[in-house]
Amino acid sequence: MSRLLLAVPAMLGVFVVVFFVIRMLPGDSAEAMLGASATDAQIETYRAAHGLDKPAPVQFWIALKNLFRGDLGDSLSHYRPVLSVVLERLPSTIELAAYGIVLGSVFAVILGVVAASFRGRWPDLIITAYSTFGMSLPTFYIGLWILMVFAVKLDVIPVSASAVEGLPRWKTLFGPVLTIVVGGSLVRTTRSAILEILEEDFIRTARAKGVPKALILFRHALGNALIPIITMVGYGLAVSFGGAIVLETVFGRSGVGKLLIDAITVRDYPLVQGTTFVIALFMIVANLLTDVAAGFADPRIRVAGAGEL
Amino acid sequence: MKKTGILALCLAAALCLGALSACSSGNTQGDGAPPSASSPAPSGADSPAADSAKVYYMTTNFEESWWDPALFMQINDVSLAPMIYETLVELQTDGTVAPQLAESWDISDGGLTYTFNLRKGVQWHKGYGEFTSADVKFTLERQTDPAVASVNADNLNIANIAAIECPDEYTVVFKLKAADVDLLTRMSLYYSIIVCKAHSDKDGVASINSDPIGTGPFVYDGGTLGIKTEAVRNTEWWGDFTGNVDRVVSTFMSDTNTIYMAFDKGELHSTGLYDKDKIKEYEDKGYPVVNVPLLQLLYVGVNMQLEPFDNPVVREAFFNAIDVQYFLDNLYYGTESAVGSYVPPSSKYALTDYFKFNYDPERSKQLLAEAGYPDGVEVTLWGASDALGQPPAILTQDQLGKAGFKVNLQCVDFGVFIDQVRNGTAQMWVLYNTTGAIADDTINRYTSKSYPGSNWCGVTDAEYDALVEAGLNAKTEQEKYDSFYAAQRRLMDLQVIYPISTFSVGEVMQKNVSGYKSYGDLGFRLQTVTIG
Repeated sequence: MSRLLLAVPAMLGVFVVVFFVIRMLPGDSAEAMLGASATDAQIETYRAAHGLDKPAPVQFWIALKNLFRGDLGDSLSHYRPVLSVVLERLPSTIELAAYGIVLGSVFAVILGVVAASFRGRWPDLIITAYSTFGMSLPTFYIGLWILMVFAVKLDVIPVSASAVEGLPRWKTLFGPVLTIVVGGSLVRTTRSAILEILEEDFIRTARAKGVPKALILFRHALGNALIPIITMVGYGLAVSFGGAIVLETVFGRSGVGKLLIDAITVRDYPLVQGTTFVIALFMIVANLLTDVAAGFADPRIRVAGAGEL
Repeated sequence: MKKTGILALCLAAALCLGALSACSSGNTQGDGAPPSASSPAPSGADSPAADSAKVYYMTTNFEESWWDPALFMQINDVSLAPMIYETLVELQTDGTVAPQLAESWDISDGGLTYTFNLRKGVQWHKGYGEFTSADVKFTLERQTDPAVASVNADNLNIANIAAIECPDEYTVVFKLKAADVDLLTRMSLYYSIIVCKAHSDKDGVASINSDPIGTGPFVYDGGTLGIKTEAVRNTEWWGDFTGNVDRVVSTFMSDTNTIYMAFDKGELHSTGLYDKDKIKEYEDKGYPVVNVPLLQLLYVGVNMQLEPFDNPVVREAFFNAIDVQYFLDNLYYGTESAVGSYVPPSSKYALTDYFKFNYDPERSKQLLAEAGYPDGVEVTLWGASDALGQPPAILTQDQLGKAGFKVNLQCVDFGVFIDQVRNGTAQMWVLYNTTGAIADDTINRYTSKSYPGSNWCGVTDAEYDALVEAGLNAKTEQEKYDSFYAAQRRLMDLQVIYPISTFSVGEVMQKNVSGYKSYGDLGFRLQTVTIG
């Protein structure tokens, strides 16, 4: 509950900081929106129509009043309420983030466990090499290769899922989700965490008592290695909301990440504020989910948290 | 620990999937539009569409944002707009106008009265009734409404229209304050797209921006701007629909590699390309390519109010330092041919044969020495850091470097770039500039009254001002041509803008697509296109 209450000033802080930082950027919304060929009269008309000719404190006061009414203002580049523009793109981003995180995590945890259990041997070497390879390659490069192989060569998926109609959902998500899975860093985290646990005395005791290896790995070692894994998953979930720009660009998906970058490019101040506000909200929610999941994984965290209260 | 650990994993998965299902149920692409299993997927030459409705798949690579034509900065601001909307007259590729919503017109009273006789029986889309003179009056008058925030009042020269009268439903009369030799051309361009008064009256003025109602050959059929939009054939269209496209789907794709792959795979019927090598590759493979010259021009500009370009000798050195052919040979993006003025040749009033480039780097060095810079002169060159801006900026730096200029190159975000140039602090810049179909905007921007502001070159020349003024107030088209040609010669002689090349797009189509027709306003339309 206290975390939820703390979220309110955090969100307000995000709003204030973004409001002033975006206006500190060199460049002007009217000039960026209307382009190089705009005349002085066009620029003046645009500024007046959108209240950009008012002093920044006045604009801030108007934006703040609107925020408390649940209104994030009107987008300068879409001529519509910011909330409606963001909500149009949000489902695509959430869909991608959720599938990517869930499938990517399951895949990475399995590989991490296998690598740890074969430490120093060929499965470990292959998985570690794969993991290093995936982390080293830029996301757009992985995405383009996945398109080249699965869309062009094998014809399993379309190049642009949004262009082709009537597709089963898995085909629309296959490319971007596979890119997240391939590029994930969770394999190395899982491997390291499990290797650390495998050195513990209670694991040695379990081995001495003849507990089967699979049981040691998945029940004792993985169970105790969950905290860093959950933290990484939560971090990945939070980042994916704002950082999906590359995937959205390569796979032709219109999500929140691309919306934010475009809004910054044309200095659409209300849209930048609204989009970062929503992304910040999701980051806070993702952190809360991480904490709750970590509390289930290790009750000591819950006890410590309760003690602080 | 073990049970709670597994529980934690399950909880995390359930939360993610719960959020997922809540947000994306029933939506294949997550774009707000329901998937249509009955719609044929495209596959190029072997499209299954051949057996049923003909669906044309196209793409746009920039974020589309609004439907209201009063906010358009060009006809293709929204890819489907040229097919949905219409104007009073249609601009032909030779610059003349042909009847569209107006069947005929009379010009009287010494060019001060234009009477348009409107086409009868034209129906607005989706049952909004018949197109009448009231729609024309509503369209033009709303351009001056502050609530509309139209950026096109200047382009329309709306201040020059004293009154718009509607003597009957099929006649509209414009009374002008002064003769406007380009009024007919203005009535053919995106800023005079006619919108539906009944739609605004019934659904509110904001509906024009959310639900486009036109009279054109295709009817808007849903979708979301910036994601995917669709239109279906208008079976009640007044015109001659010679193609066979029943539906058109326009999808936003921003990555060029993705666009190439989608086209190669047949997911798109056509796409506009700027990469000259890629266009040639498709031509060599036998794909039809239509070259569309755009209203853009690549140029290098200098600010004559700032050192060292306040010195005419330095400007002459600058004009000797650039080899246009070097740009044409090395820029793979859109550049086509050398030009004769700072107005692109596809724009009305462009002077096409005045400027002849004369590359002589040694002469440039001599001139710099004469101007007091025997060891060369330091300048800062600004360019946008995007795919269009950076390559020519690098080539310009290279060229100037060989001719005695020590160039500090600043490639920055487009917003920063515009701000630098516009506020008068940039000495030199390179840019693809867009001019209107009528060159008034570009020619007028270099007058003294636009400095500081859109007159980035800092030109304050009385002779140029007088020539532009004479052109804008010309009573005949020939007078305007004469004045504007003279103005362009004058500005070229001041050596503040070095025009490099035109810019064009290659519209590449699948081999089973035929019948594409070019239009004078550069709009992309499909009523003549046949698939299969």
